[in-house]
Amino acid sequence: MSELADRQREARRRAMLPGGPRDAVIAAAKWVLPLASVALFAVLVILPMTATQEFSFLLSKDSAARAGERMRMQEATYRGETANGESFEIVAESGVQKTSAVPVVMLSGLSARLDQQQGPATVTAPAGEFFIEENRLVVDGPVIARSASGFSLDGNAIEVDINKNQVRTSEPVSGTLPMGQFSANAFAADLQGRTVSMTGGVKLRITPNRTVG
Amino acid sequence: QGITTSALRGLDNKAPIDVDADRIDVLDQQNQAIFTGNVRVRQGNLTLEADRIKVAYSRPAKGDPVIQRLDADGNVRLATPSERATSRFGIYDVDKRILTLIGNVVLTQGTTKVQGNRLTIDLASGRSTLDGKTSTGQPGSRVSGRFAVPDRK
Repeated sequence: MSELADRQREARRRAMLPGGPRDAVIAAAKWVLPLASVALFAVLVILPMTATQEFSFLLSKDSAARAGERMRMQEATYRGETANGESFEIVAESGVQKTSAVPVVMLSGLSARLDQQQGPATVTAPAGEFFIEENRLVVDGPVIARSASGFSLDGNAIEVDINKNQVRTSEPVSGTLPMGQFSANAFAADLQGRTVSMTGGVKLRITPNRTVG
Repeated sequence: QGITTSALRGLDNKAPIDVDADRIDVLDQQNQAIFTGNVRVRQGNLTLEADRIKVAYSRPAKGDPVIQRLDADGNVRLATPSERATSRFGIYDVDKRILTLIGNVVLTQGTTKVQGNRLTIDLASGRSTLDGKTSTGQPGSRVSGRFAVPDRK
């Protein structure tokens, strides 16, 4: 065989001799490798738990920007149907519902329109609260109800019950009817103004038809 | 039997009517308003009080209601600058400008006090007549009156 081959074989045989470099590598590997695996295990499992620096974050309730209300609408329109199937629509410059738990929407610049057999009736008021589940509005300030015979009221806590088709208040109120101006401690009328009852120290100034010649 | 002319003469039936009452119900479909509970109606120098007054009006197409007539019942009291009267019923026909009190009418003018069954005051002329007709209009109960002669100084 060639001299080179002989030399190579001699080298390999020497390397294989016990206590040679190869055995050293194996001996070293015998304790290095298990140790390395244990270290790797430690790194993978233990290190995240003891990590000092918080990688993940928690959305903290108070710091995140929370909306103040459940729902805020500009130019809100609410359409619904009364108990006896008459459709009504409430338009407001703005509507805010504080929380979803309370089904009340605070409206400003509102006007409610109700279509009835005798014709449409509209109720307008500067501000009010709409109780969604009861189809009921409680408004303050001058309320104008325009309908066939219409009337206008000025007072507060005036209730417009769209389901029952009524406008009523039990607080002092003044206003005008086709017949004239009135003031009373309590007022109740159907939305059309077909029947109006005023109670409690009622004053009414009837202005007979001035146009009669 | 004539009595002095009433101060209501020439009462403007289109003057505003001021009403005070415990309760007012306006029934627009029947063109009617009902005042109940110490009702007081004032127009010009006429004051009419009663337990209950019903107002009938008509509604022209546009414009204000035209008051047709007021029906008062239950201790009706009439007060004008020239006389006072009480009765059980009272009718103020705004249109025809006639005020009628019916049912044991007691009319007091100055010192004279006259009783009868029916007093009518014509607001145009101010002429008031008291007659004994029963409320159904036939002559019947007598008119009684007591005149106090003013003592001459």
